[in-house]
Amino acid sequence: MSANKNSERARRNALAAGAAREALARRERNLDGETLSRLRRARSRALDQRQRLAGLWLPLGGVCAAALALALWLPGRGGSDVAAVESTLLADVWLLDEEAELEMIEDVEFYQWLAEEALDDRAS
Amino acid sequence: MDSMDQFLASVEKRAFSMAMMGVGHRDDALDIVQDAMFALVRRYHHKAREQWRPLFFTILNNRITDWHRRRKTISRWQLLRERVAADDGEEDEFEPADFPDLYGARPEQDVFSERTLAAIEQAVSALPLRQQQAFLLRCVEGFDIAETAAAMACSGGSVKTHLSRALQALRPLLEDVR
Repeated sequence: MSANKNSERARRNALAAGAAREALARRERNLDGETLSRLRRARSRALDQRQRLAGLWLPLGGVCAAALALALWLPGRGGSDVAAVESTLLADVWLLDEEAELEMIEDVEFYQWLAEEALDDRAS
Repeated sequence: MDSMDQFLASVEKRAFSMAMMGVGHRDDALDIVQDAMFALVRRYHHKAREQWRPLFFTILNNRITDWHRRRKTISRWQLLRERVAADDGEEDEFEPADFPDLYGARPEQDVFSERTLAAIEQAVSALPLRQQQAFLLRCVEGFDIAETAAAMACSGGSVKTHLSRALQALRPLLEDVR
């Protein structure tokens, strides 16, 4: 492919990107009031949940701390059971925190499924 | 206004536009944006601010993909067609940062006619989902290949292929722009 052709293609690519940016900016400038209002409300609700999450994690942290304290203060008196309870609680905390990663794993599985479906179609 | 509030305010319109292009329904697009905001705040508000943007657009893209999965509108044939077409496609080496250099400080509004913008918007909306995501993330949002690949949960090579196909579809619309 000639240098001129490459350069023309690069120019067109850049133009396509610029036009898409401008088209999106134009769409965003012309958003109607209701849509803007709903976006603001969505943002506000998303931010509100931080307070609720803080309220949720405080007692959960307390439970974990209590379990840990119990394990430390009762050595030799069924200490291994207490330690098991404690580790379960901590594992649950970890799981809650790793929800995002679990979703990402699900997404990867979805793409694998899509690829397999495509290969099946190709084979049949 | 705190920093998360500022961040969400700065991306909410763009997120809505991308979701609209992805799903074509206003209410669903708004739900997707709200969902993405919730997920970012719930899971990643403690992360460094510079990580929010890639994380947010990754979540947004996942939500758009989920929407298609639920409605089963990603047809097997479309996927197969893309895969077959990708095999013989030439990959474009494209650097979005080149664009401003082409026109300097000249506003983009002076370059594109309303007709061209409408055609481009329609064409981007009509692109197959993966091509659309690759194009919007890479060329419009300016993510690099690795970030785009992470957001789309695919390889950098796949991003280049999707992007190449998208640009191939969009280039002819710029015939009248000199």
